[in-house]
Amino acid sequence: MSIHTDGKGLGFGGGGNGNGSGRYRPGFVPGPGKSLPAPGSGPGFGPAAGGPPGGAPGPAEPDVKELIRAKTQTMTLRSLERQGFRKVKVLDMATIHGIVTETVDKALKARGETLSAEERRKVEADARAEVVRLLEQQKQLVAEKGEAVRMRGLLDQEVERLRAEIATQQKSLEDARARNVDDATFSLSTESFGKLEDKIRRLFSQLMDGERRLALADAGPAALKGLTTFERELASVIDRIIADERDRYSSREREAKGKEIELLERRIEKLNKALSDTERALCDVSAMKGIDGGLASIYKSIQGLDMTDPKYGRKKELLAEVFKQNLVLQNRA
Amino acid sequence: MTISSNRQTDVTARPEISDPKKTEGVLYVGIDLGTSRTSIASSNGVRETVWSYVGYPKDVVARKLLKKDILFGREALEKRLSVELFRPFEKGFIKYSTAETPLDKGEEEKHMKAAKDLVRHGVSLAHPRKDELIYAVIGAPARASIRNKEQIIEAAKEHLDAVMICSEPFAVAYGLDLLEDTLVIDIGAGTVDLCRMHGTMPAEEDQITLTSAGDWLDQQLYNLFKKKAPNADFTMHQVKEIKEKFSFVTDAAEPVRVELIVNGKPTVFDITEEIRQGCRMMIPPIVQALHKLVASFDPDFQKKLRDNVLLGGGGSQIVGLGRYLEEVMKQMLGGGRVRQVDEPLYAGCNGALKMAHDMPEEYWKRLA
Repeated sequence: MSIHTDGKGLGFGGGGNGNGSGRYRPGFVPGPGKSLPAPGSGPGFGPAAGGPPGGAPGPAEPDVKELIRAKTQTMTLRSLERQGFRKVKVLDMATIHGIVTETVDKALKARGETLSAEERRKVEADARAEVVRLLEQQKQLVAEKGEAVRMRGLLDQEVERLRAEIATQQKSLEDARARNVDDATFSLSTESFGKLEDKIRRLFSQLMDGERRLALADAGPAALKGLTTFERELASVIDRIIADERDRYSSREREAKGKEIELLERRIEKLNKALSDTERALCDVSAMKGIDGGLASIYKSIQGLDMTDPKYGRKKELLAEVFKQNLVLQNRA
Repeated sequence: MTISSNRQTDVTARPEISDPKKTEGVLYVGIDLGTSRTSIASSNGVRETVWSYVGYPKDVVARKLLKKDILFGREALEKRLSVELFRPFEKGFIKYSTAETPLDKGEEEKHMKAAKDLVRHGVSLAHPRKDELIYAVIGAPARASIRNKEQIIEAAKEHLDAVMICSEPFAVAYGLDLLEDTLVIDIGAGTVDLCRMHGTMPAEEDQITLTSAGDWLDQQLYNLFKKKAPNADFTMHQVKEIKEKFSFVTDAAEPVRVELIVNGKPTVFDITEEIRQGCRMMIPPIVQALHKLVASFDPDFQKKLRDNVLLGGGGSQIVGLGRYLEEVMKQMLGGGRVRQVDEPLYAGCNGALKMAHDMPEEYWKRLA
């Protein structure tokens, strides 16, 4: 139920969730926060401030009407509707007075007490002041609860988001680790190949002049041997060049991969930390007083059939059959 | 050069904040997963019902406008233009691919997700505490197939510590302690379930499921309204609302006048006769099924069964249905007495809750 006023009285609104539940959401329409004056210190209602006739004036009684009005705010029907209130019950000041008076009467009668008119007025005034104080307290608690519930919702969302992000980054990390720098896929870059080619051409231009080979062959075996040696050295140079190129490529790739993995690991660490912090905050919010932790069941342990039930035997058989059918179902699953 | 590929840093390690242990009690829940409504009753005093609609925003713009990833119930229906709308338990079961109605895998998964989300939402309406076990019994249509029941369990078990399925009309009867000589008729939106109670577990021959139920009636009424007002523009949802507000089968009734749009202009139509005629169309299949169940019963107990017909489900709220059924039963079966359950929307889940409460501990532990 929510309490609001249109200036004429207090209204109790039914929220409803539009889905046919018919349940009312407890809560107050938020109003400006003001501290409640101590009983007796504000303007009063009820008997005249002059006090009971024939006696010294007593302490001024709190004017409950004014206090309640000070704590409430006027709202239009449209804004109530926007907040989900479709039906409103109205309670006016006179009725509240009546409720308090009646309550005090009943309490006193139950205790078999009789009071003088002055004492009765004081008790009523105290009761009214207590009602107002409790209303104020309730409003504060509901406002705190509303804020806490909102925060909790935001934290829940943040936790989910971080978990999803961690999962994504972990997948990327696994993919990055799985990627091997395969030496078998090594290939020369275009630039390197061009350089190699130039070197080889120069060497061959020195070496493979056909006329020179013939001349060397004519010159004798030693010359041919020299040529063979030269060719071996040439091959070894080519190998060295290609190996250097391969090493350069591999180390570049490994370095890049290492950096990528490091980056992903750092990201995941950061996300884990953020997730832990958020979960801690969520726990703290949940542990706060007034948070809706759910409605407790009336049962602290498993119940089962009542043995004094006249249909105990029949029900026991039926429940056993239901269980057997479900066991089969869930074993299939 | 830094090579970190061989470094197996445990980047998943983080301080765990675990869920609270469930040591503070047990919450029993009875759930009626209906085509039109999902009702839930639990042992913390909560009773809720929500329309069985689930909506997912169609795109990023809709998501931003609606500020939600999933909508349920009336809200999903109201925003149906912006969401992909599902009715997970249409016709009494979660859609899956068959030879007659093939569905691609994506569609199947969407329907299952919608069913799971609706169950989760239903359980959340009970405001369960995190430190309590949740044991639930769910009502399924009387002749639900094994596959249907497996689907319901799959949809529900993620959100519950243990779950059991039972026949919905059986749950109604159990909740009211009517375990013998009673014939339960549960009139829902997707199915009408009839179940013969005779002191033991109802077998297949004790139960009949009809598809001429609430949704079928909506279609008949739609056709009748179209005949009456061929130029009027109206939707199936409007027909459903009219039905839920005005349905009756009695001879005498107050006129039913509704506004329908004709060429953009609201026009009043008297649809009293159409509603009566449409609602009465439901009766013959029900009485035939009733006749079959009574006639095939032990002759010594047929009269008792005939005189203890119990009407439940949303459809039982059709004004005059019980009395009209009695008249038809008198013609076809020589007599009969029909009464309506006190709470048509909650009778099923109340019965399921009672069953959950009565179930022995060892059964729950075996299924947990």
